[in-house]
Amino acid sequence: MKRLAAGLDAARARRSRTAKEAAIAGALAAIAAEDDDVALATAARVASGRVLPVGDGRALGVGWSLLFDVVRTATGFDEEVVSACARKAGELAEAFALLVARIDGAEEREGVSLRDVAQLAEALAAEPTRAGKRALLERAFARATPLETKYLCKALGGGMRIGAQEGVLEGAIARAFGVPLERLRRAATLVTDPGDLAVLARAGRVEEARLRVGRPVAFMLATPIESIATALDPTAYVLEDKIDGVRAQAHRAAGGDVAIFARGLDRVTGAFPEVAEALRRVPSALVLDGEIVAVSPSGRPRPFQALQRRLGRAQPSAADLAEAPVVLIAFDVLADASGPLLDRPWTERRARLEALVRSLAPTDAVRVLPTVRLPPHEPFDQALDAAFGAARARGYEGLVLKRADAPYEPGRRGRTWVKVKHAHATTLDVVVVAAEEGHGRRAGVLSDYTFAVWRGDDLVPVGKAYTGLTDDEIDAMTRRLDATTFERRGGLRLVRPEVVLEVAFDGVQRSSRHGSGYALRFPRIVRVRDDKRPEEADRIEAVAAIFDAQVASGHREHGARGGGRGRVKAPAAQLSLFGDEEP
Amino acid sequence: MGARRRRAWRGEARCGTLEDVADGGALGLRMQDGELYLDGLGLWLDPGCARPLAFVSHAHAAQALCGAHAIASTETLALGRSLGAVSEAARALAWDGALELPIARELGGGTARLSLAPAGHLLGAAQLVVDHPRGRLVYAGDWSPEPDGTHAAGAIVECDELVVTTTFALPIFRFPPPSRALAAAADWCAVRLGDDTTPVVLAQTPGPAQAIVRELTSRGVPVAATDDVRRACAAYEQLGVALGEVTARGEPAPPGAADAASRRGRPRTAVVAGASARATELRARGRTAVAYASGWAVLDAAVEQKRADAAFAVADHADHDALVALVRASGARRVVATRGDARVFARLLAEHGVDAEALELPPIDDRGAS
Repeated sequence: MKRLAAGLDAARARRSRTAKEAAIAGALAAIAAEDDDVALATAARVASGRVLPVGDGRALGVGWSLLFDVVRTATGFDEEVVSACARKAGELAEAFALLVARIDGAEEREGVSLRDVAQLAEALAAEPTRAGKRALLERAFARATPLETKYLCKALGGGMRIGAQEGVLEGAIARAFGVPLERLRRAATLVTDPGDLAVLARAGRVEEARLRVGRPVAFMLATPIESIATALDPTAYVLEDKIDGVRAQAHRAAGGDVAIFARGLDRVTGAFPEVAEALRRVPSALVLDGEIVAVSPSGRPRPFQALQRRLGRAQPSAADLAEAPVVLIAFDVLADASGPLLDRPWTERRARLEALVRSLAPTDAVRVLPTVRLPPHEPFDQALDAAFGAARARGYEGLVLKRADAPYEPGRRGRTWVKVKHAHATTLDVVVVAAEEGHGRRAGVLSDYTFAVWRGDDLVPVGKAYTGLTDDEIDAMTRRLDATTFERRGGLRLVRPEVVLEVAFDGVQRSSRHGSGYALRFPRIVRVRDDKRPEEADRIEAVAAIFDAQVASGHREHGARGGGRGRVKAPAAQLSLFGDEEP
Repeated sequence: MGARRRRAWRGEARCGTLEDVADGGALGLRMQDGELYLDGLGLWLDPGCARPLAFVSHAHAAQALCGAHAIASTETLALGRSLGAVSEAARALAWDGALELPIARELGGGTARLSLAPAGHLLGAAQLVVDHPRGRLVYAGDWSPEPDGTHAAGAIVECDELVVTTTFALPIFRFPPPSRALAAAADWCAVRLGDDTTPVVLAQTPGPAQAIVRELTSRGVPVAATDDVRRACAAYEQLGVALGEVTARGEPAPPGAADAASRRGRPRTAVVAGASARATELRARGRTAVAYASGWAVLDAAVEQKRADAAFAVADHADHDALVALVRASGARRVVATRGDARVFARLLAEHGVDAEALELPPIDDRGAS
């Protein structure tokens, strides 16, 4: 763990992506040279900010408050001091390490091995009581050096925050074991656990990466039609209704074990027992991709809000089950008893899917929806509009166009799947980067959110939303954003980019006020996207594409109001943290 | 920006802890309009703006030198002038001099004798020592225990009441001796220059920036600096603190430095820039590496925020242990913690058996440009 912590700290201190990658790669290669697969897998997981494998159903049960208690015991400082230190450092893990560094002999401690960390993860997952978990953690941290303390605490807390964006760890694994990056990336969509991936890479076996029932693969994604630059061939596509629910990948192993994974690859099996039960009744192994949605007694999909009471709940109550029953609307099959089907064309997968679902009882919580093709002789836009209207009338959000001859490409967002959500306006997934208290009734709660999209590895603000959340949701957001505030600027809080919102808006305009050069008009929050990680938020290219589409359609003109892209003010990320230090 | 932030903090201060300091001590120390105020003498301590009568402990609080009557050390006045903010009525108090002020009748009347003691921290930084009929109060201001080549060590003055600044009072702050941190920063610069990379060091000016300039020039490393740093360097030179030659960024290096390397177009000088300079702008020319030299640099987030490649804990403040040591050695029976994590530090002192209270105010360094 010493070597890994040093590598991660070097990665944190480096500015360029390449240097970060090289630092992590160096540590992984050194660990691989002298240690076994367990150590290497653990190292790769810790580097990704976790200690259990991706898709592992078990929970560590190590929350912030438990870690906090461990820090108090380990350092001898009380709650007030530890919180003040964590606030000042912006993070508990770093404050913990700095406080441990005060202890005589802490630098000379024996340290924790990666094998210790792997055992700790197993033991934590198996230990039911808080007191027991606390004892395990205290024993581990008593041996850890300050630097190990920092990175072990980060991994247990579920985030590295070393400025390494998505893909840096993949780059590091590729570099450490001399695997071409493209091959490693492809393997990573099938083997989503970084530990397993590193072990495959070391063995030179990334070509053997394949879907395994019970382990999630990356979800295939759809591109908004606004972002598609050139015309689609309407005859090549089939149309499915776009379901406004929770994307889910459902695995049923040959032995009958069922696992349901959400977009973030977390296991959510317990939250949807009726779906799990239906899958258990399937006679053989399979992996389905689909969307879980609440349904009315007549079987019609209910709005996303109806699903809310089922989300964030590990085990729903009988009342939840009765009031908000759900079904999995399956739209793809990734594997069946014959093995993985990813490389088969959509038409073949679809035929197998329909056959599979036919074998289930009609009352079961797994269903398929019919698909349609566009009439070949009508103009594309007109036909699409008609199909869109029909989908809306059936209660769905829009359409997804899928190429009938294409394989399932995990993790890919391309022209193979294209989504149509709104006729003109659309929604974007954005990351909250700052928040302010509201006024009047909303004084004292954080109700105004500045949000951003990605430009390269940076988040650039594109607007500010005030509406769309209920009072309860605002209270919950206030607590979350309170905990992630790293700087206060008068009333403005800069927060760590962790919360993803889906915002609707009336259009995009040029802006000199926002760092991105664009601003969304009248943005309102559609919902909090806890199923998405910040890295999955939209990119500036999507915003630019919407703007360009508006220009093309005559909805907006190119001219900038108050300054164009070239005269953009410093984005929020460059605001000074600790005062200007000037007299 | 500075004004807006100050207003926000005053708001916090007002709902703060006036009641916590029930008696205000022998001279009635309290918070007034979000500033430290010695009621018994009508004296403001490092106020954020002009006040009728103010003690200005060091040049980072120079805004107060505009007030009707400001008291400061000779060096603080001179540095204040170089920053362009001193009224005619500001008076220098000699290091061996004293000033008498009447004490308000409600607080017992009589006369208080005001004198200065070195505070470390910054050239000219002074503690205010107030001897009065019932004992001695010391306002230590921004205090640091060790010299850094541009300023003396902070003195420990025995007293009854001690007012300390708690900017870095949390136990996460532990600073190496300035000599070691400065040497590390200078070594880093030398390595970068050898690697054909221009080293840029971000540091507060006046203060650590000048200590870094001195460390570099004393090793024969040619130094260029931003205008704000050079202005303060000139003021230091006039006050008798030799810093060596500092060119403006972009000017040719001094003749001695025009060696073979420079003829090949390699970087010739290390650059020292004020802490508020943007690393992204400084990187604009050629291969550049940026270091952040500050007490804050012990925190990852601060280094990240400066977009720096390296960090050196060149601190001009006392860390947690040094503050506790100061409090103990002063023998103070009553301690008032202020300007920083005052409440937490007062609580920690109370655990050590020291009668400590907090007056919550923002650090002077956070005031920003006025």
